[in-house]
Amino acid sequence: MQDLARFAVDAARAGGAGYADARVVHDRTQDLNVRNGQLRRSSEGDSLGLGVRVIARGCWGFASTDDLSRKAVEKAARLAVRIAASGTAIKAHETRLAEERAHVADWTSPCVRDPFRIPIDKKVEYMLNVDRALRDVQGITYTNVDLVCRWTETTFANSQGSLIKQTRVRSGAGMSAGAFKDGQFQTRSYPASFRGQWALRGYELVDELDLLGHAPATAEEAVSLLSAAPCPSGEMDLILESSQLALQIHESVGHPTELDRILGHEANYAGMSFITADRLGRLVYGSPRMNIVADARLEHGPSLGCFAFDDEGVPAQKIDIVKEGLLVGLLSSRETAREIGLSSSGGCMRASGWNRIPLIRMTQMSLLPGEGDLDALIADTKDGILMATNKSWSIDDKRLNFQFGCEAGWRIKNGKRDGLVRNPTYAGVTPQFWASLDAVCGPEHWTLWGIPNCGKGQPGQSMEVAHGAAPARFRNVKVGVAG
Amino acid sequence: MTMDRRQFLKSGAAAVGAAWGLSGCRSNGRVLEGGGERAGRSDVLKEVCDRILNLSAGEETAVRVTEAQSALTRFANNTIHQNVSESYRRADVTLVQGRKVARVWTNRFDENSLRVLLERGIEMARRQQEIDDYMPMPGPQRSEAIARYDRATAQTAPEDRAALVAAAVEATRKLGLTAAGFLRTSAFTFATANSKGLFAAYPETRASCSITALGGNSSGWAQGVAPALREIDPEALAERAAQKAIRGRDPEALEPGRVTVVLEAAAVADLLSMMLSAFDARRVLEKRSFFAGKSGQKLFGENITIEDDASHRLHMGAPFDGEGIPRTRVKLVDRGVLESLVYDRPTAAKMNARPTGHSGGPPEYGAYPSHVVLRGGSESLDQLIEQTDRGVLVTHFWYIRFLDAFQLTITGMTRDGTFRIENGKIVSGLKNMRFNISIPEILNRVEALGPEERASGIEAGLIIAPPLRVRDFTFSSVTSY
Repeated sequence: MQDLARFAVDAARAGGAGYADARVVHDRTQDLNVRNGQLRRSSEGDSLGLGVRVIARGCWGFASTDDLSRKAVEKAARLAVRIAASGTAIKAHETRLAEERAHVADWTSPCVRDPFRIPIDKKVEYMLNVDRALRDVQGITYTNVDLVCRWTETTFANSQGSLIKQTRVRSGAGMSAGAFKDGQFQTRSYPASFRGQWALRGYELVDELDLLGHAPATAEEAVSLLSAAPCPSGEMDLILESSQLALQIHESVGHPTELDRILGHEANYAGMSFITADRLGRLVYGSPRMNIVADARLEHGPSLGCFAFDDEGVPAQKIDIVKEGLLVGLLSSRETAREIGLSSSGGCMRASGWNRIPLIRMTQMSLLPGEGDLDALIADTKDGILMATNKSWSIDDKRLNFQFGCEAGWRIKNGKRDGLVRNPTYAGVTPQFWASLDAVCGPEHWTLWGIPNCGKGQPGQSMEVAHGAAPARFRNVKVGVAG
Repeated sequence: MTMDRRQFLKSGAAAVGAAWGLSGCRSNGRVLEGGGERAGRSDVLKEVCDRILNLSAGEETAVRVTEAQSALTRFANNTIHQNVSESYRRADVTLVQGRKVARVWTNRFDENSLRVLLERGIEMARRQQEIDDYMPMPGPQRSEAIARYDRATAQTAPEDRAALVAAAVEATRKLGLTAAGFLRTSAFTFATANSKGLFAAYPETRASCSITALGGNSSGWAQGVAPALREIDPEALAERAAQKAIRGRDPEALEPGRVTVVLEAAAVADLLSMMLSAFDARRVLEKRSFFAGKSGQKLFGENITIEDDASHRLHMGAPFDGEGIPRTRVKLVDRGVLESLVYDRPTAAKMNARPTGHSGGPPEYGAYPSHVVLRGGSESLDQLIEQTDRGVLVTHFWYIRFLDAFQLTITGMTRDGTFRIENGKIVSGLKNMRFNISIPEILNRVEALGPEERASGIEAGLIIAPPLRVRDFTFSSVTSY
């Protein structure tokens, strides 16, 4: 594959590209789903292809193919050059890239138990046992268990001499139980909604999640929600558990700090940002308790936003995004970094496959932990609500006005949990919300959540990212906003 | 943004359809090097399907093959900033061994790769549990012949796209605005076959263009999609988006509350798309759908009739479903009454109904109405506005999500052109607003309907829908722009 990637780069250069890079990507996915006691999905497949990206006559061009013959690859390379040249019809400026030295590397992600080597019947048997444990709880009318494993080998080469091979293995698993009664349907999921927890790990992740052990409590809570009190409406203190806070970070910090959005590249679809590049180092994003990093390195944790090099051949790195409440960093590419005068890219460019160009993506964007545990935080809250597990999410196209719903909430009165709450929702405006952050629990409560479905780009791309968070408290938040 | 299932479906090749004939249109531009060579080749896909079926040792085998060639020229800040092309073929094979089912897929078609793939699939199937409601595969079917393939669109050259984009950008720039958007041309062929002798194939082309015009504190949006590029006028779309941005300058804030809204067709499609999964009979059977237990009940206003009709003159997509079953025309809602659901074969058998030809293919997908038509009325969009004393005009919506999928309650934002209407006239732009409302509430408050048109939003795939005037639409908050 290294030869093929180099060949594509050389062909593009010979065709007239000033800069070229090529990625040969081989993906393999196994996807299992059990629903209501039946195996509903048992699928496995692979996809292999090559994409070549060029700058020719000052414009970008990209072509991809799944025909890996030299003839087809050369044709794709020449097509990429031709496509780039067509962009001169309305070229506003020469496309230029921030400096990056050449890298030669071969990197494989850590994996204790290869998930593809676990016999499929063992997986299915386990999933059926989990499903049965959920359905054993009286009142459960719907169950869902997911188990997914992915393997990707990417070979990258560029005309500046980089040659990088990366192999990444990911696993994911989760379950949910639903209860229907009297025209109402309530769900609880574990360990998170939307197919559970995912990581850059092997089957050891599935072992550790212990879905079977958590099934009864998960199902019982779904049934309990049917008779829970509705979410109160008003302003009160809000404690978010870590998986919901992960999505809050994703939508209200991750996307607005993507430099392509800030520069208007996504104006027609994903949207822009309330941030402008000149606010870097000056915008107060939140309270002094707010410390957010984007860290693609393994040191931050083996989750979905971890890699050794991005899809432009830039090494994984840690970027401070918000430091003690101040915006200090943005997510960037080689092109956008240069555009705003940064010396180098933040290494955030990733493509969802061989047939897509890399875009600026969140890596592992996390709220750094504070101190103390959740019980102490609840004990310190006089009038509030704890919300857990995302159910609904929506935010405007500049990432200001947001509204979230969760699967479950617990009213807090005078430092104690005071009953389950159904259909909890909250809303806010990004900087005001983060300014109200006054406590973050400690490292022992911090979890790095893998999110496999971040959508962006035209044509669309679904990307794997991750967010770390510990439960945190926000003061005087509007809750019960959708009653 | 994180994608929900609806958007995942919209983004995938699963949305791509099928048909039989070719339109035979001449190319009107330069020919893309190799352009369109992977398009419209039903005979080639038949050979691919046959090869896979012959190699398979499964007791039953079904194959779905998608072949595509697609290119997209994307622009922002009045310049082309992304410009891409892709070419692929993918096979999705379902293998059955004694009521045990596995699915494998690949884009590698050399004999060795296919043999390994099929052996893996058989091994996976053998290791499964039996499916209680497994149904043997269907035999040969006869689908309606629909022609939505335009050779000129399939052969569009990058220079042609760039020229059209340049004209659109210029139309925006000369008005002092900035343009962002894309122009895409695609050619697909979708084929399905099985070991019982079923084969169906459908080639289709698609052209789509979306434009956002940006002013200092306002924006406008317009989008078009059609089987042929010649049906899309990027310059006209740019002008429409630009006029919205100009009219929306210095937007005011409207106090949240209940208000009459005039929803353009794209906004209607955005909202309607949230309800479509609820028509899946399996969801009803599992009591996960709003429609559970409501067959024959009057749920919406008398003026609401919703059909699923793959042969509608404005629709696109295959006339058969993922299992190769012909798509039948289904009246989902007749004058407000829930008339029918859509069924895949296993669910139809359980519910003593006929399959309607709406399976997503693999059984886990269930059924989905992918050719929805909301029947329109006689008023034009201008008339809907003129007949509104006080109200809000919505161009389209953004980031619509369920608050409660079972109750069909949703939230979302307006985007790129929200206007105040007073005494039948647009008087100012409005800052974008968040809504919290249930779809049944909306469909019970429709006062007037415009003509049906091809509507696609950022949130929705293609739906044939009219603009609507709706009373008591609930806005809950306003954003700062």
